[in-house]
Amino acid sequence: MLQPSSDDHSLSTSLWIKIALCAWMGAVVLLFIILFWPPCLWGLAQGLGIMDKLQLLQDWITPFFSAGYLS
Amino acid sequence: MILFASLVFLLLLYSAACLGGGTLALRILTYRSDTALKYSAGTMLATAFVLGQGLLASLWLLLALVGWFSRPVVFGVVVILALSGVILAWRWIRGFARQAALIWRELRSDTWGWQSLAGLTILLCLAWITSIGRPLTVDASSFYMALPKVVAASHRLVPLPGYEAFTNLGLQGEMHYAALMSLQSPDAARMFAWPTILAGAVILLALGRRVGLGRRGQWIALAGLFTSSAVILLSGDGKVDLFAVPFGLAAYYWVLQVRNGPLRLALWLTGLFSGFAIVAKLSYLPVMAPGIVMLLVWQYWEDFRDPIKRKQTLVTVTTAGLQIFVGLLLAFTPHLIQNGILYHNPFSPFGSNTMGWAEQLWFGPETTRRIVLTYPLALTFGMYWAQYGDISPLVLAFLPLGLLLPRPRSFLASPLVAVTLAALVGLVVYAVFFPSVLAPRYFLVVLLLLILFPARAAEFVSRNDSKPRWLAAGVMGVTHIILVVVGLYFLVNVFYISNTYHYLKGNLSECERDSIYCDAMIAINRVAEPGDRVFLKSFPSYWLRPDLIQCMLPPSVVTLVGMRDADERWAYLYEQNVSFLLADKATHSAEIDALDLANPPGWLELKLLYSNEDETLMAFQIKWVDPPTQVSETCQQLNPPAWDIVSKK
Repeated sequence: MLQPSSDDHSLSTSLWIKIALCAWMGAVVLLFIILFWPPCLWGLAQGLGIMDKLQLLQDWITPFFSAGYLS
Repeated sequence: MILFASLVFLLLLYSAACLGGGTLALRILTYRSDTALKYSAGTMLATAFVLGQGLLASLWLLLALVGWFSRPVVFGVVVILALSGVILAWRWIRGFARQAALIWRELRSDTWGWQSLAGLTILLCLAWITSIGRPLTVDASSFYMALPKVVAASHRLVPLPGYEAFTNLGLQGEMHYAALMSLQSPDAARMFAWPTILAGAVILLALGRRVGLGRRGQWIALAGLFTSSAVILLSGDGKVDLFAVPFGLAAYYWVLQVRNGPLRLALWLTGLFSGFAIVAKLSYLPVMAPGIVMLLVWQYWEDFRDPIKRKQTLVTVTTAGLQIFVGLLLAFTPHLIQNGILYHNPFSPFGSNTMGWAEQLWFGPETTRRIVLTYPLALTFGMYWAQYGDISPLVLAFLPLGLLLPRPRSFLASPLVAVTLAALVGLVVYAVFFPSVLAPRYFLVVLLLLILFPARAAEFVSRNDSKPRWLAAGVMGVTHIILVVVGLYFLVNVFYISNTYHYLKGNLSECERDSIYCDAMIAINRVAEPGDRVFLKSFPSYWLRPDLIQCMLPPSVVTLVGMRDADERWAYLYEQNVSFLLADKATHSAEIDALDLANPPGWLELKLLYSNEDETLMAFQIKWVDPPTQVSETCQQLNPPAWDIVSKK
């Protein structure tokens, strides 16, 4: 019989594992933000002075995740 | 705001009709066993709604095949079923309201972080209504919305001109569009994706509960669903890929009830939902079949291992499998009848020469290898040609947190492990058979199932992280960031707030919202007589009048380039009784150039009705002065209100 397990476990893990998992989550979010920077926030990026760098990163990373028809 | 009120009313009425159809069917399936329906009210409402969707689309299909798809019939069926739905499902509706109140109370007692996470998720879900202001996609205006428009106007289903080899696919979504168009609301048709995904969301959450998700896990799963661009992009775009999702999810939910709940009902529903899902999206066949079989066998695995029970278990599983198959066949029957009548081959496209879609090749070997080797990344960040969306980044972000989940008493007894593996098997099968076709919408159901494992892991971490609670904070922060970024990103792609407001106020016309194709076709509609023939040199046809779509000379019929000269090409168009030409140079330049529009023969005049600025899209009226040949075809109303092409020879 398929039965879900309960939640009554305490989570004690090493600090390094926590750091690694946080870094992973941060990396995924960062990559997502770079690739899918909301168009309505380009003004904000300009205001923060990161627009050029963001554009550069986007141009550099996008080819790894895109390709045209039959390419 | 009258438009908005009528749109909401129609959506509610039609949803109630789906609910009614499903509730009636559930009553029949559980005849003399009322205990079978004692599930959570939300789960039963969603199950009844989705089942009703499948049954209603099948009924519309059969009615359209015999030419009875008229407005009085559609209206009558919808009203009767809607009333039945409200009366028969009232107990569930009240129960669902109590459930919602309980969830609200639980949320109020949770931390502000979870409250804001839930609020943002609900906001993203509500944003779907702003897709009314979104332009139709080319696919939708070419087929998915054009076919229903013709069905609604002609009261019958025949292959759409130009898409004769395509109308053999399952028409689950299209028939709902046709019914809502028959009730005078193409906007409600487009927006029907919204109640559909809401039902899918409820079933996903019910599945989540089944595999051990608590309330927080369910909120994360919901956030995962509504931050998946593969889901968002199907909001109000007129495509039909979304309709298969709730069917698929419901099939996975009910196969998991085989040993927990009422066996007979669970088997019937698994079969029916699997069948409807595969009819709605044929690519779900190889994706879902192994997972459903696996989950069925998995639940009996302990008994298989017992030598005393083995033989009896084998008989039980085989019988259960057969019952699922009968349900699947039942759901498939209207589709088989459709193809039997229209193509004289019930199993079309199998066994016909229209299997091109199954042999698609989108990318070369090198790109295909890159896609397959980076599958989780390609499914999260991919922007490949025709990919049309990704799975939520929350899945990838929270996946490693699964390492922290406590080991289950037995992997064989864990529904979370079972469902995740069933989804992974479906994913692997798809990747093996269609490595070069990276289209999450083709296997969306298994991608959504994969949300459950990371959601469970994130929930576990948020509840049990010890100081310093970085992981719990990380889960909260990441979910918030993704919700905000996704919401803002789609403000200009899918959620057109300003357009929706102006459209509903009546300050924005259909053509201003949609595209220049609409302007060009409306220009033809204004001057064309009923039954005139348009030579369509473009893919979209949706905005043409229904009689003109039925009578048109589609682009696929003739290759003008192969003819001797422009005179012969124009003579051919006269023989076909063509009076209008829609020329889209962006997609059909070779054949348009072959007509030499600047120097037509002296025996005809071209009157420009519409041209965009760069003259890539033009609409002409053709006035034949003294043509050198005879008309061989006309378009007539042999079976009103439908139009047919009639040969004069």
